[in-house]
Amino acid sequence: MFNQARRTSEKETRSTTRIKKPMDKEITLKNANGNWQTLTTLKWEQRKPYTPNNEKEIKSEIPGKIVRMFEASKAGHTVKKGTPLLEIEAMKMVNTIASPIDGKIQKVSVREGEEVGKSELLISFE
Amino acid sequence: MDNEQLEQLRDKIALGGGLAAIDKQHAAGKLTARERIDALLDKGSFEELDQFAVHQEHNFGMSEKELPGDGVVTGTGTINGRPVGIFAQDFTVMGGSLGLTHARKITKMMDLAVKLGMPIIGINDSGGARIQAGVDSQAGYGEIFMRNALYSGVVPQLSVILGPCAGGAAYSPSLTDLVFVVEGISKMFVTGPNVIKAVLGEEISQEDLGGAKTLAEISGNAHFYATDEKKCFNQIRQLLSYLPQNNREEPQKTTAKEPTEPQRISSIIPSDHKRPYDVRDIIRCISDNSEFFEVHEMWAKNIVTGFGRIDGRSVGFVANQPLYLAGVLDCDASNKASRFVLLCDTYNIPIVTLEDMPGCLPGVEQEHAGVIRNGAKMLYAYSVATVPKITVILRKAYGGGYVAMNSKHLGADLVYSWPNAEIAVMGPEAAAKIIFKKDISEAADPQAVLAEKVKEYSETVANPLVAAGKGYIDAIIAPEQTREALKKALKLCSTKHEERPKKKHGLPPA
Repeated sequence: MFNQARRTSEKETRSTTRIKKPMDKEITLKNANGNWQTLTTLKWEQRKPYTPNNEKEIKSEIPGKIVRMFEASKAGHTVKKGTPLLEIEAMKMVNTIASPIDGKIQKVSVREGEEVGKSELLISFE
Repeated sequence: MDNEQLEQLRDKIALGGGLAAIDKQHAAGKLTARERIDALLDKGSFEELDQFAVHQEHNFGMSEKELPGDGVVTGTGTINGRPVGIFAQDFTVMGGSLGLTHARKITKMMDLAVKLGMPIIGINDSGGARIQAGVDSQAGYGEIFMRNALYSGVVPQLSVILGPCAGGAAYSPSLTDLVFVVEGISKMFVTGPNVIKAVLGEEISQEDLGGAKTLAEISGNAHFYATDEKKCFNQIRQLLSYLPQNNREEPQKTTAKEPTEPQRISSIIPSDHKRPYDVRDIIRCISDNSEFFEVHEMWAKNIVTGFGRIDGRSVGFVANQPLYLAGVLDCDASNKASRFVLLCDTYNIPIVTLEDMPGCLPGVEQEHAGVIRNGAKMLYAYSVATVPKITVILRKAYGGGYVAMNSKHLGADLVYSWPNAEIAVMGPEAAAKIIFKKDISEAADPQAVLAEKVKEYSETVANPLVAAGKGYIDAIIAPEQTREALKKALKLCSTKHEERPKKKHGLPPA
């Protein structure tokens, strides 16, 4: 049971009577109402920190296979927004990925025939 | 008190926090509470309630303060000639903060609206709890939340976020049926960027954390996104035209207009079944006047939900969208569609389901995010809904997704299929690899045998005849017959009556 959250003051040194399992991690959370000592959950431990959306990177939105690379998708090429760059097949469907911006391609990180995971970097722009 | 004095008092109250505060509100690109009400409601229809209400806080110098209307304007009016109850928080009065009178004005209006059976619209623009009101402010929020919950499914409740709506205040909109946001104006979060930075050290702007776009596209807290307040009010007026006044009524019927390009319907789906298309084009070939009013347009785009009309009747469309993520059912899509199905059911709006789905999205992320319990919401919603439920299988109907998309097995009233549909427990390639595993591995040319077995499987199973032969599909129709078929089906279903076993309430998967 997760019932041991407790406010700590600087003076307070009394040890807790909580039953702590070996895998439990204790952290101190600060908020407007003071500091709280508490245990974390597995999901909390594994959470991903926030990263702002970067429109200079095309990432795979779905796990799938790169079935076609278009001529335009080569490092150094300048492409217009909407130019088809590659095709990814996922879930019995072929989707064309087009350039989200006008820009110069810095790196193409995948090849035709390659399997990609979700959020994998495909193409980055300068 | 003579008339003149009364008028003077009214004028003073109508100015809210005063001219300087109104200028500040305008400078921020926002209308005032009263301007918003006037812009949204039919001209001159607003009747204010509790204009003279006074605040109830006395500590911390509050006794000396005057707070016109206690920071909220409430009343009734009409939209498209039909009555609504409305409140608009007045940011010019102490930041629209919520004290006890403010909350009680809102709950009083809500009680009246439910008794009279009319929709409730809340315009939120508030700094949050009035600290000086102490626990009374928490009490006020709680009293609003309880009514949001109890009146859910009785009268439509709409929330319009036109300013900050932070902390506990953010929960009221989430308890209502539909939430509207406006670019650059709406801000909604439980803990703001400052708190996040102090506690976790993560930096994020207000806009990225809970601005209009984030709410509409990433979190899905908002159903409708507009670029300015006027457009937002037009969305509200249009939305209400599809809904009845309350759960005892049917939506209003209008005069039917034919779609603009109905003949396009047979050429939208590419001949290569691995190619995507925009399913909204198909909806626009079916709906009256080709109108489709999308709900949650920006969130979980792999499923499309929204309102339209067929033969003048209001209809809720649910359609897989091959254009995004191949149209798979994932956690967000299931949440979006199942909530929409329940929304239609509660307000007596028939549901038309257009199916083209390859199954559920495989992956660790989805499994760990609870795709089982989230996907189950689809099964739950379609099963419990008693409004007319009609399905058209456009192309793919694979796996559990076939069952989930309002199949006959979940109680669909009528299920149609287009002639080229593929209805099977899994895709031909995956199925052939399992059924003919031995034949393929022992063959001299495994690829050739696989191709042959895929073809065999497709021909024997992945077509509508098998399901039609078992009665799981009622009729196979050509694409161009779809609108006519739906018109007839909806007419047939208009006298539908289905009872469910009596219970307190069900337990939808969470």
